[in-house]
Amino acid sequence: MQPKPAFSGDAQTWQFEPLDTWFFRESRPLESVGGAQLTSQFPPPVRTLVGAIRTTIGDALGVNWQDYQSQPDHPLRAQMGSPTELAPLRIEGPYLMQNGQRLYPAPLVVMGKSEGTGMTRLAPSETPVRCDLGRVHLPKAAERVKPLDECWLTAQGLVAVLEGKVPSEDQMCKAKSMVHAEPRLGIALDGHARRPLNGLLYQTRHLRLKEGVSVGLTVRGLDLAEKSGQLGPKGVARLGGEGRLAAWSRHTEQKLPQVSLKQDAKRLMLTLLTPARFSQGWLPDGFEQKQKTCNGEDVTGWCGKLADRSVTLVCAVTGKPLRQGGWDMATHQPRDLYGLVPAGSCYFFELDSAEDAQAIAKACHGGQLGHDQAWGYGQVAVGVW
Amino acid sequence: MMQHALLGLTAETSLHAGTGRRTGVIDLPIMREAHTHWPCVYGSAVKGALRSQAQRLGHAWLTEVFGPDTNNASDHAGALTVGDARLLLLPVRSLNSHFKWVTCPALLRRAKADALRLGITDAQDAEDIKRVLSDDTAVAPHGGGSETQVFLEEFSFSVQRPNLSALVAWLARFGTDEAAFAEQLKAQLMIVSDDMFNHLASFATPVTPHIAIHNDRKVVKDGALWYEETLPPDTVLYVALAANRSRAKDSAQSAAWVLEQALSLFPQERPYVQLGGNETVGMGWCRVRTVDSSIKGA
Repeated sequence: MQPKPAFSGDAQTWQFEPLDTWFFRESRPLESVGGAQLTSQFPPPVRTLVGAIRTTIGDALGVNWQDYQSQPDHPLRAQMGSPTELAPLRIEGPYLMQNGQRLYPAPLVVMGKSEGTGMTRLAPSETPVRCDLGRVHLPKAAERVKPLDECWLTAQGLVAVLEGKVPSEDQMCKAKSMVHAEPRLGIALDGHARRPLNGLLYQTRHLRLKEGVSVGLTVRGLDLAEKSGQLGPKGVARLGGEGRLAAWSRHTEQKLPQVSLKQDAKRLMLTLLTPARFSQGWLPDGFEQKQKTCNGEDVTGWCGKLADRSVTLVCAVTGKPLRQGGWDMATHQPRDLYGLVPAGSCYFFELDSAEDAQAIAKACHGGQLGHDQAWGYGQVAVGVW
Repeated sequence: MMQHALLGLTAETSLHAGTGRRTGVIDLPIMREAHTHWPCVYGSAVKGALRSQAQRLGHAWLTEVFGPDTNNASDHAGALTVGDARLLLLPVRSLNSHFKWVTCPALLRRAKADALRLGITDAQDAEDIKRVLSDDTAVAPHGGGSETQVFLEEFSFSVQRPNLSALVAWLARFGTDEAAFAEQLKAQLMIVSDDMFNHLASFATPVTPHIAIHNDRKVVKDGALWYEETLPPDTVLYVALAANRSRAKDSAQSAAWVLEQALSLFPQERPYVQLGGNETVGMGWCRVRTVDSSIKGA
């Protein structure tokens, strides 16, 4: 038996490091790509990481997976849920980590001239612009800038953006400084004839993380599994496609940095820290399009509630939809493919009072929006614009 | 629980694990890691070689351990996970002595980290000698020779000789005859700086020209000249193996059983595996040693 870790089952960070490379296949079959190569999703989808954690727990407790699969009331389900109902587990993340510190996806409002210089941020324009959604205060930058390409921020960098500023260069971590793409070519071999099989040449793009870079996930609800004393502080697990290996270790929870908003702030920006799944595509659930009249002209906005307070969504900066599917190991079939609003997307809200802003910030910072919240989807951080 | 093992691979013949794409003047380059550019053999190629070996030996447990073939891939997953074969010691020609097994602190640090992850706690690195290394300084084991100047390829190094017995003992575990390999390492191990190793690993690998001939006329076929890169014989690599319990339906075989079957592919009397291409011209034969295993007595 391994020593019982010093942390509780209530909330703990699981850290994953690759032994060599990882491959989290994009949601396309190998047969569909023609001459192109299959790329990797990064960071890995939450279901893949949770699958590795659940397998680790099950193995540690010595579960017979066939019994688990065939028995709907198997006792292990009370300890670590099932692929359809995760309770009692609850996830926060996934997120990147560098040297053990959590990183945050850079809010998409932050832009720069080139390679992180001339940083500025988008804000809703003063004058509404007519577009397919109506007359909308579209996000606008003060000068010509372009989006940051796959960038993460340190905790201090995130706080700076949430407070309405721009991050400094040392608070930004570019993907290319943390992970390399490694194209790989593979064949299927006819073991008897000792030659490649026709038509089974494939190309994949693996991920090779630099030293010190890892992926983290906060897990809640492990109390029951923890009581067994069988769950060690670290180990090795299979993770993602092509049976790659990951070293996992458990640590105390890394909490979201707190932000102090100005007392008179009446404009809030919510930024997604993890992808969100909404019923209406990019629009958060419960929000409806409304026309308002401003200076004699119609202006489009979206009304809804956050923390039971009425708010108006002015506009949003969203990234390209993220497609996530995966493979269901239990039923041996692909999971449904669905679209997600990517992490880093930002929503601009106007409120009736500063008191509402403080209440929403208190209730929603670190909270979640949309579907599948137990899986960590839709976590937001609250800032100002 | 998952069971794991660390294997040491020593190339006995040239090894060509190719990437299938050309780079610059080399038509058939070898596999390399994207960020370090160090040579490696991808895990899929190593697993394919192990699977092929099991198939050749006619083992009934083939599917249970390695998974079903491509046409039945969704039946269940294989129970054995095979990591990349990663470089540990690169043989580099030396102009004033026998070849040297060259490595660097970054590579040894990584090998130690990999070993720790597999539960091997006595792995050694070279962090304590890192500060003495520069582009023209190298470190070799004390008592392994008296040269103070050594040439590796076209580079000259002044050599310092601290006591590296613990490191030599650790590295010797990757060879099949541990005691003999330790003696060889004492005379031939050389640790260079990370930057210098990067250069040697990029440019000191053999690149050989090949032609194809018309058998009837005994002349070279038009356009049939190509350059092929290989890892030289005596290259030392290592592979991590991890085993789950069997995923096959109606099988209750444990992870230890899965790993045991995989390790049985390398019996003491014939501990070989063929990696990479050109098997029919004798390339890619590696000697295999189980450095450590979570199965007792393996």
